[in-house]
Amino acid sequence: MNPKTLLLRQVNPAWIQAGRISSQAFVPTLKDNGKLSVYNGDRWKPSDSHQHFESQGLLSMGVAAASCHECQKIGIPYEEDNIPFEGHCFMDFRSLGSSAQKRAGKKLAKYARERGFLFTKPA
Amino acid sequence: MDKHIETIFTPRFVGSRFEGHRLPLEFLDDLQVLGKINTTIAKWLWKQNNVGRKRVPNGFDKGVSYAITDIKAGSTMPTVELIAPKVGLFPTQYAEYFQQAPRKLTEAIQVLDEGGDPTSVLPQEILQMMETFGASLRPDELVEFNPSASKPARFTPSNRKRLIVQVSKDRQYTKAGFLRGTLSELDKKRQSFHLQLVNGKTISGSYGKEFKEDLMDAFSEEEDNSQKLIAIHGTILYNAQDFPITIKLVSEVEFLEQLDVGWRLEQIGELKDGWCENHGEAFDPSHLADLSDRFDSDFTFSYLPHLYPMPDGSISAEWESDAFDISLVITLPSMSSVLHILNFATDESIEMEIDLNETEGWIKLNTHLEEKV
Repeated sequence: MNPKTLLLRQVNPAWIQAGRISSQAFVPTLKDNGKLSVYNGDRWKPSDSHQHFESQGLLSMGVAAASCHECQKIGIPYEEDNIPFEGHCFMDFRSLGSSAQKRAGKKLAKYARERGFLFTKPA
Repeated sequence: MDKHIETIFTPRFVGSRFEGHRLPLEFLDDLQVLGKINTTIAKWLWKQNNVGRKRVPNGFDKGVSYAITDIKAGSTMPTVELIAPKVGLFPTQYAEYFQQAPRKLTEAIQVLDEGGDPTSVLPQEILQMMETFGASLRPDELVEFNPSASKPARFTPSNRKRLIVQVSKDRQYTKAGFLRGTLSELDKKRQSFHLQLVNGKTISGSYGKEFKEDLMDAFSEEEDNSQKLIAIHGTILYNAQDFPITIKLVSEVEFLEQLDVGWRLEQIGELKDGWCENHGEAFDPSHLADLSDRFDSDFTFSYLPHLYPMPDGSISAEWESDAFDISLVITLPSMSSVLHILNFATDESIEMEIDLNETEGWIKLNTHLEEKV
């Protein structure tokens, strides 16, 4: 991975309203234990990552992304752990409190909104 | 001819809309129905006393009329009077049936209020006429038919529903209300339409000529090819499980903003358990409706928020401008909330708790938004 590598995030349908992605999509929930799951964009095409995600019975309305460089800029570490599949990465929020997580999530969501969806599920 | 005038009903309307002796205009129709029901009960009573007679005598209700004369001080209690002809000093021979009729109706409503079967007091076809009374009562409103008595014969929306469902052929009932959706079909010749509801189901409705233009506008697409969001107000037929069946009468076509709060919260209310990667519980629609009502009454800022569900059962309201990203996480049903404001230019953020149960909380929220967005 390099600074330009995109970290692909699957966006739950409930977190899109009138085309806008919620910053919730970039903040880990309780089940994530501070590790926000993303796909390594160097190894996964957005459309393939979407297909892979939904093949597990999970719902995604589309694929948004922040780059490794953007994560570095706002101080969010990331790592490719390849668990549970090759190319699985996570953004590491574990050292942040709730308010700092919101700050980071808002910044990541802003980058993703500016970039636009890389893939949207066909209607 | 001299007239005999007598008060037959002084129903007490209870609820915030009726405070200050106010009676919303739509209830005048309801009071008019009481007159019709009274005459029908009077005829039925006569037949009960004259077994074998299929029709009341000619002139039975000749000269009989009803009037609303007064709204009594202290609460909203309109007075419904019976005006009957007099022969000499006395009312005509049939007047007693018209005088007994209100007591029968009140008795039937008391039985209903106590959970009993009102058809033990009045026949089904007469009780069916009560469908046109109280259709616009809201959940926190009621009418007492015998307000001064220890058993006030309360006619509540749920009593009304139980009554109409029981006496209707198809176990259905009507009430005034509105449904949000998009127009999926419009038949100008038949003056009918299909409304696709927020939950994706489609129901039919019919409309009067005066709504043709509004409905044609609603049927046309927005510039981005999306469908216009609307709310159709009117008389809606429901089944006993409260699912809408058809819109029987349109009284208003309301155009909604793209970010309409009620619409979005209704959409969130459709989420099922496990909606967020097998986590996240379904929301309680009544909690969402309460939040929608508070937005309606207390949110004054010009820009509506984007609203998103959270897996812990709270709602995230989000606004953004070039300089700020603002989120308000609202816990339901407590309505406690946390406002988080991030300034992109300075990279500073602030966080504060706001109690949205209190009007002051909404004022605080509106003020922060006015300053930042």
